[in-house]
Amino acid sequence: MDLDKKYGLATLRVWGLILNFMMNFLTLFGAANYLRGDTDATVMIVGIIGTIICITVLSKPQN
Amino acid sequence: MEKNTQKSDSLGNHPYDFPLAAKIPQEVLDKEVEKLEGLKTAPLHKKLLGYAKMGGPGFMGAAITLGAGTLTASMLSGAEFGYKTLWIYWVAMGLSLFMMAAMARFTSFGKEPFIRTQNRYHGRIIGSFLTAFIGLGAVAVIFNSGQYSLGTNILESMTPLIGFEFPRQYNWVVYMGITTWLTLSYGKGSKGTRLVENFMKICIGIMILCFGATLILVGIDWNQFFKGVFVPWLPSGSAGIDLFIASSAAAVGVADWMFFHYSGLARGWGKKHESLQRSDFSMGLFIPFVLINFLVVAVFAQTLYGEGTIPQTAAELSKALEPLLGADAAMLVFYIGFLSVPISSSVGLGILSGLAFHEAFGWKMDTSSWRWKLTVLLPQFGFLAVWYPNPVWLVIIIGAFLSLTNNVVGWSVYLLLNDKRALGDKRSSSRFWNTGVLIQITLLNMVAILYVLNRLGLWI
Repeated sequence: MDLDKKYGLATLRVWGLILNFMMNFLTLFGAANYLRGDTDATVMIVGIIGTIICITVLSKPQN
Repeated sequence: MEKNTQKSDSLGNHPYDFPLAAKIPQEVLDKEVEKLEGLKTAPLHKKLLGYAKMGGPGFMGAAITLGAGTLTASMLSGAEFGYKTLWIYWVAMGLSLFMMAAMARFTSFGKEPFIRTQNRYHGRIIGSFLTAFIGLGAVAVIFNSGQYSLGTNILESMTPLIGFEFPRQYNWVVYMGITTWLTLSYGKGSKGTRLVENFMKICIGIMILCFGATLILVGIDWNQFFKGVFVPWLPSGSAGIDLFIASSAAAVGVADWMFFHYSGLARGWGKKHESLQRSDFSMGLFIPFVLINFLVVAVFAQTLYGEGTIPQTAAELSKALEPLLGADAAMLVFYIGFLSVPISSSVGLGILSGLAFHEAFGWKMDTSSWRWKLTVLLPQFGFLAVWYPNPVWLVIIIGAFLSLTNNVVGWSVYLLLNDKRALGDKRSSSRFWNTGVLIQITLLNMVAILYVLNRLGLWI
């Protein structure tokens, strides 16, 4: 996967950062709902797993 | 002596012109590179000592980071949670080192100063506006009020211990005199820059000695200390998440990254200085930051933890120590150490302000110009804090901008670190390094998200 290839407006690396931001949001939004007792931990867990995947993928240096 | 024009990179200097380093004679830079070469094969203790002597920007970074805000947070942490949060300091600063290493790479191998690289590849909104104007300039001007407030309070409290009264309504003049002189000395050739750097080193030394002496006096619970350093603990629920994210992301931010980069450029550091830079931010920033915070937390854990109502400002917190420390001399030692905190930060913030506004507006840095003097002295308006605190609306606006933009600047650093156009073959080739930078960015993202969730009333 070439992270530095442009897809639409930006490179895959930039889209990855945006996706990571969204996953970080899910983590905290899910944590807030879970700690308030409104929902179970599913959203938070999806956010955490998404964040880990994003970081792992984005850590690949440029070829 | 021949002046350094920085057009030649034969001995590891930059191929581009950075005006603050232009006044450093080429011979001085050449000698420094020769010394560095000699240190490569020296025994470890000689190498460390040599690097510590030659370093400087890392210590300056520590002086800015260890300001009124950070120290107040540490005092409160010790008074509220005892030794339990000590682990956060080394973890947070440890994570920050990945970003500092990125800035060192740009200092050594960047084709131009970082904000200009941002302008070129990410646009002026990210470079000149978010990074320079908000992340550096606004921070320097607004946050200096806190330093003035703390510094003048300390002077007012400590002078009766040596036999005279010096209220803050008058002592701010002394505070302004010292910080203005030092701020204006920076960039005036290698001597001016080294004077300021050495002053910062001395301030950090004073903090360590004075807080260390205070801790010896109040004693230390070694069992709780080691537990606090190595066993992660957080208050339960949202308070724990808030504390961890805020502490880990706030240890070092945009201002510290850029200050380290630009003060390295001001020293004329180039290709051969990357290892010096790495040891500089380890010995000058990481160790002092962690050690001083450990000492302050331990002093307050040992004295005010579990004592009922806890004062909320640094001045009140240190005042609360007076009856517990007993002898005037002991309190005086504490105050001397504590006074080094705002003074060194004010000097650093002044220099940061000059760098920021020159980069924001694309002005050429010239320390003899009125424009330079005016911009480095802009944070001195903080003296008004002696009478009036910062307007709440201004603090909220800057806080909001900072929370929401710190992460975007972090994204920019990561993208440029991985960009062949910016660093050529010296771009990051390490998964480990990129992972560290991305974890730091994730924490900064979370600070921004928490800010929004709090504003929308969606956080707990």
